[in-house]
Amino acid sequence: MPHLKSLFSAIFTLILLGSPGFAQDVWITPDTPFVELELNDQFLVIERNPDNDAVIPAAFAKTSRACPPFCIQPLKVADGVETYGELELLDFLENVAQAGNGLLIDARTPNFFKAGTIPGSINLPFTLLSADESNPFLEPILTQLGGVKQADGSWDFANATTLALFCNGPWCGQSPRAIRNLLSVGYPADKLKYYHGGMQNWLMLGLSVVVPES
Amino acid sequence: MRIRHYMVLWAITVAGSAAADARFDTSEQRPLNHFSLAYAQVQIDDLAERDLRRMIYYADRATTTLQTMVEGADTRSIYEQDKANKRFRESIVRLADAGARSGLSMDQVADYYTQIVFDKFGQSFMQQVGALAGGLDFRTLFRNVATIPDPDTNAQDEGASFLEALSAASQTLELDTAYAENGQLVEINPAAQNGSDRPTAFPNANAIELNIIDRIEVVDGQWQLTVRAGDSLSTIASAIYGNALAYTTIYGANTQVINNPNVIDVGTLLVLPKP
Repeated sequence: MPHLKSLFSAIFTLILLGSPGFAQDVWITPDTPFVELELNDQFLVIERNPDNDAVIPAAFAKTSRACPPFCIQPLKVADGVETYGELELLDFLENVAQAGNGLLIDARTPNFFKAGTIPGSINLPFTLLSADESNPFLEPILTQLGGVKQADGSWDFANATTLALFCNGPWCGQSPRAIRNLLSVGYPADKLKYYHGGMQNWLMLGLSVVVPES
Repeated sequence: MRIRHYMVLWAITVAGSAAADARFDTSEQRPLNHFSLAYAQVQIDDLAERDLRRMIYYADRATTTLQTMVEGADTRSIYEQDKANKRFRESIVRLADAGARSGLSMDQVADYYTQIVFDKFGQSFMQQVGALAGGLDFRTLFRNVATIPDPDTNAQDEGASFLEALSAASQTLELDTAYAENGQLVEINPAAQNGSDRPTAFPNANAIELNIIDRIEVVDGQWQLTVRAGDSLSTIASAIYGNALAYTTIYGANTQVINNPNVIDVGTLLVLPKP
């Protein structure tokens, strides 16, 4: 009766015998076991999957989607736009977004967002950021982000919020396209950050993902 | 020894009936409510909103990990069960920490959590856990699980020890497959695939570990080791699994002959689960 034995060991050894070294052992960095965030009135934790045997989820295991359109993106998306890795992104969430001075933007279309995203992100599909004049969403979005439309039709982004954008992975052009669109309407490059790794690298490192409540 | 043996058998029986009887209703997640906090004799207004959210988050996690730990216990390998146990313990540590940061005492957090578990799983479950714990009260139980002996030893040091660990880890990294030129995976270590009968030493094994590997006997395909003076579960685990912390795996497979994993008797015949 192996299962009885295992349940026994589950509770008995765990509770009665203090075993050394039982703290979480997959940390983010040697100094940071996990990150706690308070964003949009929600308590969030970002940490790594503690299971040493975990592998990347099947949905992100594909290596070879057709290119075009799923082509490898350059590390630098545009002049002046800083590229983030995971630690820079976490720093942004802790010190910029949490203080109300920035937003993490999931630039993918809503179907992807709903399947799971980086904790604390807001879905702003790249399709809604098209700089095309026929796009009715651009103006209200830019206004929401802190832009002020001038009488001559140009934008004043002096008080615009800083954005960090990502999409599905290093082969995903959605967030680079969103960034280029924002730049084309005058959004300051130093207020745009690009998380190049996207969901695939995030998951490859076993970092937390949340499924947004509908 | 005989009394301990009896207790172990008794505990296994209780655990078995707990597994059979425990009913977990996953469809209805009761909200963690005011009542739970009232039980802990804390006014909900006493906690800042942020503290409350954090408490609820970690209490919810500690409930989920408890459910996972117990629910799947009859289908998991010892190795997998060990992981589930560890997840549960970690979540309790985090809950206790969240409580401390909210100004709650360990007992208050224990009461709060006890109430949540009671709300979710019911009285018979609580009684079974209580019985398994040999009648320890829940506050003591919670404290035992939540207390890590020395948190400082868990900090990872990016100094010499870190490099040593990294070097040891890369030496033990065994790939069973490699990329052929066409990008297909090919086997490079058929012996590892077939599971060779005898244990093999890790490349960085020390003399003590090599000695343990040498002494392991294969009986009916099972690895067995007779304890000699100087042996410990952690060195055996280190020798055969490359991880001293995996001593719990050996302990789990030998609870009939080990009273205390910190003390193993010379002459004891241990069965060693294959990695």
